[in-house]
Amino acid sequence: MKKRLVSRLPMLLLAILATACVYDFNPDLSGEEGLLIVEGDIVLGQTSSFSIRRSSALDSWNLYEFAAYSNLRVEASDGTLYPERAFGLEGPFSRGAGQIDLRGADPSLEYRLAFDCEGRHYASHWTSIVPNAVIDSMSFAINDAKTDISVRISTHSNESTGYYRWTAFETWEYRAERFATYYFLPAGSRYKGQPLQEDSILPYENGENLFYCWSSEQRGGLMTATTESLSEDRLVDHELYTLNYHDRKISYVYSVEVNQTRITEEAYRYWQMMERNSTNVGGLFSPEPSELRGNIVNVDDEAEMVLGYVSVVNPVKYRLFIDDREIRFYKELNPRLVPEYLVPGKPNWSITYREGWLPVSEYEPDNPEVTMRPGYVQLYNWLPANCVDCRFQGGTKQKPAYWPTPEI
Amino acid sequence: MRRIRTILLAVLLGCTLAAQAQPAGEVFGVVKADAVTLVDFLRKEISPDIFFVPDSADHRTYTIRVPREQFLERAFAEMRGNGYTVTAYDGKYFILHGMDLATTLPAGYFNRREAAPAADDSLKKYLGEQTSRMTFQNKVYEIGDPDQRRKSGRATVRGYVRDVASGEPLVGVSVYDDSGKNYAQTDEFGFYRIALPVGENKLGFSGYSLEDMKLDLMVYGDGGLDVVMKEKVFSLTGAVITSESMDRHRSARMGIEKVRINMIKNVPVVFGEADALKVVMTLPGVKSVGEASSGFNVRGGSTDQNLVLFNGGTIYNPNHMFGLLSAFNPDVISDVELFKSSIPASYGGRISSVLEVRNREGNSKKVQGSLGLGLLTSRLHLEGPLVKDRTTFILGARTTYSNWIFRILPANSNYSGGKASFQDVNLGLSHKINERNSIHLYGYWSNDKFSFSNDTTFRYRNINGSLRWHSIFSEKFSMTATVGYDSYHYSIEDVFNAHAAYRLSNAVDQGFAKIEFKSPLSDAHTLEYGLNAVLYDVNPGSYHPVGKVSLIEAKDLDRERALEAALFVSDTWKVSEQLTFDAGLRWSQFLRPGNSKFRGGPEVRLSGKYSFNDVTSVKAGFNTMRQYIHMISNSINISPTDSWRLTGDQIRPQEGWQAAAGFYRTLMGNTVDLSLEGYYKRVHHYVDYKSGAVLVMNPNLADDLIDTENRAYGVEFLVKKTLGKLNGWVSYTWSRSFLRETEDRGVNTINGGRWYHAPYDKPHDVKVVANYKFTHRFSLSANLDYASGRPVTVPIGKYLYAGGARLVFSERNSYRIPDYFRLDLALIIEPGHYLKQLTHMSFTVGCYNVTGRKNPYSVFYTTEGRNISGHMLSVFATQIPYVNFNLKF
Repeated sequence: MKKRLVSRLPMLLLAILATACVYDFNPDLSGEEGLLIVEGDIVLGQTSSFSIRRSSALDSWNLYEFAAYSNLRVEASDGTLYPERAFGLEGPFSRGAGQIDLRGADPSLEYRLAFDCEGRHYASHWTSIVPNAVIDSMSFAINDAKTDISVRISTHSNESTGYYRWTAFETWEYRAERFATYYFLPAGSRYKGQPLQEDSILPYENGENLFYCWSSEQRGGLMTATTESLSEDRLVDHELYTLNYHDRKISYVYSVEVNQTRITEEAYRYWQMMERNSTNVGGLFSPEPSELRGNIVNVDDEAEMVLGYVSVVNPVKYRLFIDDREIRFYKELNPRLVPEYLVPGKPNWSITYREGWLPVSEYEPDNPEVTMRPGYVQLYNWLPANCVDCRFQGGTKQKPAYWPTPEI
Repeated sequence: MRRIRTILLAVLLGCTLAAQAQPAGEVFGVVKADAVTLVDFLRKEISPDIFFVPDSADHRTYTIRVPREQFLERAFAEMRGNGYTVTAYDGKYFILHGMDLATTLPAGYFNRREAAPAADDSLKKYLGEQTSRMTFQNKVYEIGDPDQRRKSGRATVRGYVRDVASGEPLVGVSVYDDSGKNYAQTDEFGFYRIALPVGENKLGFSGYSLEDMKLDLMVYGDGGLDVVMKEKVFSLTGAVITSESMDRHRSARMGIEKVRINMIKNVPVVFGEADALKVVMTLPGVKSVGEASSGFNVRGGSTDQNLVLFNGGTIYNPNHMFGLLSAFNPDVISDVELFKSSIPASYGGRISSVLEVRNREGNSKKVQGSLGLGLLTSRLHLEGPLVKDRTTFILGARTTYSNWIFRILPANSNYSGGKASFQDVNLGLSHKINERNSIHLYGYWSNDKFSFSNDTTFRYRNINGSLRWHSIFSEKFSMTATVGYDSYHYSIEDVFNAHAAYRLSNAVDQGFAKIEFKSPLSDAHTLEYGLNAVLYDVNPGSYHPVGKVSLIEAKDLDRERALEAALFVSDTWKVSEQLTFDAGLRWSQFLRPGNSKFRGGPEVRLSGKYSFNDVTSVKAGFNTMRQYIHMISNSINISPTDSWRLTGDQIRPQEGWQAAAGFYRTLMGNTVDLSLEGYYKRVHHYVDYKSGAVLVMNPNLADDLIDTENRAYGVEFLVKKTLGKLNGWVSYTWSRSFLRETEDRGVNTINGGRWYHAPYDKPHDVKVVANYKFTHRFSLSANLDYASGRPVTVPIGKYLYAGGARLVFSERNSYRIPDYFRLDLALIIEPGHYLKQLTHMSFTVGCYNVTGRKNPYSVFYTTEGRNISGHMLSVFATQIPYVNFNLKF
């Protein structure tokens, strides 16, 4: 009996290996919509952007709806009013987002954001600016398992305790699968000022290409930290976020501009809670999600739930580059199989082009003598456009001015 | 004729031997005869089959003058008084000096009908002052001194009930007389005390899984009777009164559930590790928030409102691996007892319940042990006498090799990728100083280490030590005194970033002393009173740098020290056979240096019982409780970051009351107990937290706490069968539990100050625990659990903020996760009953969650960028088979 059980034990263990899991589960919750959401900080000395939106129901297709607000302004404690910059569209046509020019605003005063919406008046709490800290440096480090890069920041101030929030704007260079040395122009297109008589395949000139692209986005996660528990207001190599080695963002050159704001303790708690509510839920020891109330209120009815937190800040920025040509860290996940197609003759070019293919290179027969024969027609290798034109993957050909790769 | 022979004999022996004739009934006897003479006389006069080994040092003489019918007993009694043992077997008598003669297996060893020879009816007499040791049934035991017999009234019989094989005290054995009027139960030392009318009595003893026993008593006065009982080998059929059902109809107390280790070992649990706490969760009125959580909720109370006592010491974290297993080694514990309604006045300090876990006492006859192998742990236990029949020890140890399990747990469970190890050691020493005094020493140590990754390590440990002295001063006055020390330490170490590497730790250390006196004042009143003191030393948080480059500033929150002292008195008042009251008063006082506010007050414990007959009764009770120590936690489970805080000027003690009533009936020849209990409960000053409260290392924690009240009510229906091939219980509970913030914090008031569902408000709850014995060796156990889903806070809306999708949450706990259902089965293969075999093996083969239902632990949403997705975490989402192997030696 015992022997039999012992020999079966590994099988039992295998059976157990397939146990517990996290399943997709969408309870039938429709929920409510229409809570007012205010986003943006009062940035003294600069133009500040604010957006005013409404939340949407959980089952809605949209993540938000714009709110029709009016009379958006920043008020200073001495009575100065900074109105919304006019774009010519007012009232119900406003886009839910506005800008306020705060150049020349006195940093010694208290400020608040105020606006009206559907006949109700809203305002944020009066706050004064929190002086910022110095960003000493940013760095990155590869973890022991060589799977992630950790992006880190070091900062300090002369005060005893600080609360920090960061936003990150990422830009990265990436490439199409194949470099095309030729391109197709249909008959009638203008080439060097002249309309083309027939469909043509022409070589790229002056370094033009569809191979190198740049893409940018605001990083989504919330990044906050405090030096409450530290002996001084100094963060050393504080991890902001990590990038996985399969992340296409680090396939060539990656850059991030980090925008650091130093905020009040109250604001910090708000951001922390928002982070906790959106990431740290559902585990065995996870705290229960809790209600989030910012510093914006309906002046006439404080019971109305308004979401968002408006701080008065003085941001500092820092840019970091991570060049994969130096660290050789990126691992392509599931390299794409790139089909190639040899298109026989000119009459077939435009059909192939319309079907979403692009010429890449001249066909080179195994026996080069063939090309010397009279009547030889040059053939081209064609590839699907999304393997050739990097813009298909969301980026643009707009190379940022600061980009460290002058050769492309 | 007979007279002449007697006189002749006297002359021949040259002694002053006289036989006296009495006109009515004859009295004859010996005068100043030595032992050899006496035995010769007996051989000639009464029975030739007397075998005698004289003691050469014995020069005592015997003078006996009684009627002939009583002569033999009186002579034997006199000889016993001089150190002889008299054993009857097969109509023959063996008289030895200073040694015992075993002539038979104890009664009913093989079969009740072939019970031990009843031939020694004539062998009867035991002296009153000396405690008799019961070995055989069908004998008459004399209690008290027949020379000072009382004419009428009552006498107290006391003694210990022990296991025949191991000498362990048997706890919770019912002792009752035939009239059903007098009843007692053995305490944790196996000690009982019962008042009986003078004269002939039949005294019954019964306990769970023990052979019932009936003894004939002749009570002359107060006296002792120690009894040995034997574990039932065969399942009995027929009418047997069990201790549980007896207790139910005798005691006024209600809401008490007791589970013995045999049952605990039968209940299938995940990974097959017999687990006392998991079995407690199968009792009606006990709920947990989910699988893999050992925190439990009793009658709508929170997890920190349960006092978990292990041999009198408080266990602050009764779990290993954060709840996968409980910290009690099944090899060394004897039983667990849960008080969820009528909490005796001797207990206090928690609002909802008291859970008593008790060690077994070591075998007093021989050294033995066991070895266990399970999927998670390996166990070893040893027990035996240090000094035979006086000093015993029991030692148990467990360790784990469970790292493999963490590879299979869900990625979101906070367990995955972890490494875990734990150990625990239990030690129990008992020493019997004399018949009336015994001391007991208990030690417990458990240690857990757990890491999520290489850089974060959690550790916690419990240490408990206690010394107990049990003394019976007189028939009517006994005392139990305990002193001890409990310690719970917890730490997290995070070295991920060397510049911010830290260790966060917290601890509760406490010394305690308790002295309890028990004294039956009269037949109607039994008084219990005493003093209980706990000296707390709580470290609410220490935060220290780890390594040289760490910038962490060492910080220690002020230690919290306080004394919780309580005086208690309770009286069990038996108004009549039908009506019994139990009234207790406890005054608890919390003294914390530097505190200006008065923290203390009375607690009342009242319950009453009315029996319509032997099998039907109703009870009602009312209790108030106070709690001075609070667990600070913002997760619904007992979690790694929980810490404890004491009541102070700003944090008020929790106060609660419970009113309960119940109906009890025993059916089907006393094998099935029905009970129906209802309760209504209120708790004030329960601590909850503001949104965004900082619970860790917060010196001003009181500012982040909010005062909450709790309201709970419910009905528990239980059918329990304790005997027969099929045993176990079925329970259905309907209960509700609500919370409400009592402060008005304007818009921030939780759910606008309205009542909302407590996280453990699960209205419907069905539990079935059953064990069916096919043969003595094979039995099948099943455990079924159905419960309503628990309330959770869910998102009701979404929005875009700070570059990502965010959620708008509903009011607290406004949605329920899907219902919970689980069935577990286990086949238990007991060892063969070969007495001479050196080792005995047993197996348990089982399957947890047989239906493979994916029971939700939690429902949650995650946001990644702009995407929101709903998920459900299921801890044990498939069948989990297990084997468990035990070797006894």
